[in-house]
Amino acid sequence: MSAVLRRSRKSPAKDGPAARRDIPPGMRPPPLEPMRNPGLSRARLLDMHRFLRLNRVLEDQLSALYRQGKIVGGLYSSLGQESISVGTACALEPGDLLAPMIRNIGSLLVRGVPPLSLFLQFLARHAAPTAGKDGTLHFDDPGRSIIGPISVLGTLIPVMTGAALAARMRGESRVALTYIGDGGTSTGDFHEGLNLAAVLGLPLVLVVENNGYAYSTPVDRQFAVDSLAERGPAYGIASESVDGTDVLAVYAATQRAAARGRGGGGPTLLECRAFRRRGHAEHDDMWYVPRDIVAAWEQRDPIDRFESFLVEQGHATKGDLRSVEENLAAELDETARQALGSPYPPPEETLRGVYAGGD
Amino acid sequence: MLAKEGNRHRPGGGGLRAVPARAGEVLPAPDDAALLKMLYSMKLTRALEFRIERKLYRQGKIVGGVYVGRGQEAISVGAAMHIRRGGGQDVDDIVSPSHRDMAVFLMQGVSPQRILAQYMGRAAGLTRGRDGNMHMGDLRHRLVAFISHLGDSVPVAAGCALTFRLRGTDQVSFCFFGEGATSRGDWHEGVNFAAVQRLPVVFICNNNQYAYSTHVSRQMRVKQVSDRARGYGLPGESADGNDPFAVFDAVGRRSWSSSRSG
Ligand SMILES: Cc1ncc(C[n+]2csc(CCOP(=O)(O)OP(=O)(O)O)c2C)c(N)n1
Ligand SMILES: Cc1ncc(C[n+]2csc(CCOP(=O)(O)OP(=O)(O)O)c2C)c(N)n1
Ligand SMILES: [Mg+2]
Ligand SMILES: [Mg+2]
Repeated sequence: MSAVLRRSRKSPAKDGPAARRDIPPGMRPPPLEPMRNPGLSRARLLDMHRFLRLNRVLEDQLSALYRQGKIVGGLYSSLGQESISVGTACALEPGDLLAPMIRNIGSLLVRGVPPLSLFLQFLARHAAPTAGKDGTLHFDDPGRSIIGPISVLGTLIPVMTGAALAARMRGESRVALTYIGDGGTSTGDFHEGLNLAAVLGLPLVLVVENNGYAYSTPVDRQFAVDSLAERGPAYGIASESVDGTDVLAVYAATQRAAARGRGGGGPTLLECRAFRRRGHAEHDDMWYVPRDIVAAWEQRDPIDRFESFLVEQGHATKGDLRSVEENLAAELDETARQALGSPYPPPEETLRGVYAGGD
Repeated sequence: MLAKEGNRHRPGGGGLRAVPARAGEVLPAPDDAALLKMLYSMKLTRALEFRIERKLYRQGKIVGGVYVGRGQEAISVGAAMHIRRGGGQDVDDIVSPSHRDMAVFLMQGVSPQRILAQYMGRAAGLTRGRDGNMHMGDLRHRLVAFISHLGDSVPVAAGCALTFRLRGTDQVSFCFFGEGATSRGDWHEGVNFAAVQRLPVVFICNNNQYAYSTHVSRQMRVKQVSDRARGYGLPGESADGNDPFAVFDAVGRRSWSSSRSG
């Protein structure tokens, strides 16, 4: 395999996967449907827009810091998928349990995690949520009902099934929502967690972010169905597939799923189709991804789409939206500076939190 | 006639298969010799298991546990009729039986003596005295040893089928399991891999409604195990597991022509 990769890398245009002509249909953007307001006020719509923009500006700045060698760990972009994080998180009640994965910075922002915490986290500073011990998003925030991501793909699903079960046993009307990538659906934990949630009729919303690739593995090497929503009937649960670049469609579908869960209708498998427009992580130049596919999805940019919608519907002017972006960029510049001035953890920090019961 | 029998969709049996149907395929109807072989295999299985469970086990002569397939012989036998044997390494199919498939061992040519020796922990057993239970196999008989961890035989069977594909032969991998095993992550990983790689493997589930004390309604939310197939892009169907012809037909539709031809 590695020999093949190396050879293709030299001449991607000729014999590498980048020259693939048989692009699986599931990888192309779904038919374009007009965006529809599911009954949100102007204030809520503008709120969502702000979170989308915040998500993108924050990641742009993190990417710049990464290139300056200031980010300690990996950096996983959600460019073009921000609508999934923001749309799903906005549709939940504040007490609902939310477990983001590594590309869901947007979900954290919606839940109120301050951008400063996120800069500190990626810069591994002492004041960060994990006190500098992790350089990505591996932290809980119980006050915000956030359960931290687990690096081992799929494993968060049984955990969230358990969280939903605990909530039900306590008589709480809480929904549990988590995310999985197209690649993560091939793990055994995905199956065990979702099957148990189905059997027990738990209020779990499992959002599948189908972004075309799992690292360099395209979706047609990952599953033999056109849409992962086809997995729903295999578990006897509700499922739906939406255009993940339409933040309002994602919002509406999540709301339906959450309402179903709260009403005792069991879990929902919600496929959101989008595309990973950057490499797997910041280090990856994704030479294996056909360029025309990326270009097709660039035309589907979720923020551009939403901004056009807001302008067309008279909720904002182009100038309003531009100043949101400019203000956020200036704000985050300042936040980043603040984080860069924050100290790294002292050596003795390494021994803290190692054993249960320690501080 | 037989095909019609097999088309009845009733709960109680189940089968998943990995290769899509072909239009106009013709099934071989079992001739008299085959019918007799089916009856003989079911009766031999029942008699042997009776010996093991009701006599030897009670006499304290069995070293390990005993799981029987009483009432489920039609599943093992109906399916195993399609396993190709006696043609050599590059011709014979391979089979991963479950702990309810004594009939498969017998039909693959393992003698009752060796099986009895196995259960009594003797040197002449398939594991030469290392196991006193079902954890036995013999590649000379194209039998992959039963793996105790439920579901684990699924990725193994898929791997066997991958070797067939890589070698370009028309062999088929048969994989048996209970409905409880389908809740395992390994099961999911193996079935999905077989589907993505379009491997010649036939998955046969004996849905006997219980996994130990867990009823199938606590195991899955679907009505029949074959409902799971669609989630992998596989064709699936259910057959009456008490009807050897129904099982024979259902498995035959997959393995006899389609799986072999890819
Ligand atoms: C069980 C497991 N296998 C492999 C990895 C390494 N890994 C991390 S992310 C990734 C790709 C995930 O792809 P996908 O689920 O589609 O999510 P995406 O990165 O596209 O958002 C891999 C292989 C892991 N973290 N866990
Ligand atoms: C992974 C795993 N978990 C648990 C067991 C213990 N165990 C052995 S048989 C069995 C019940 C299996 O039920 P099912 O798959 O329906 O097969 P059946 O026995 O009904 O034929 C269990 C739980 C095991 N062997 N492997
Ligand atoms: Mg992916
Ligand atoms: Mg069973």
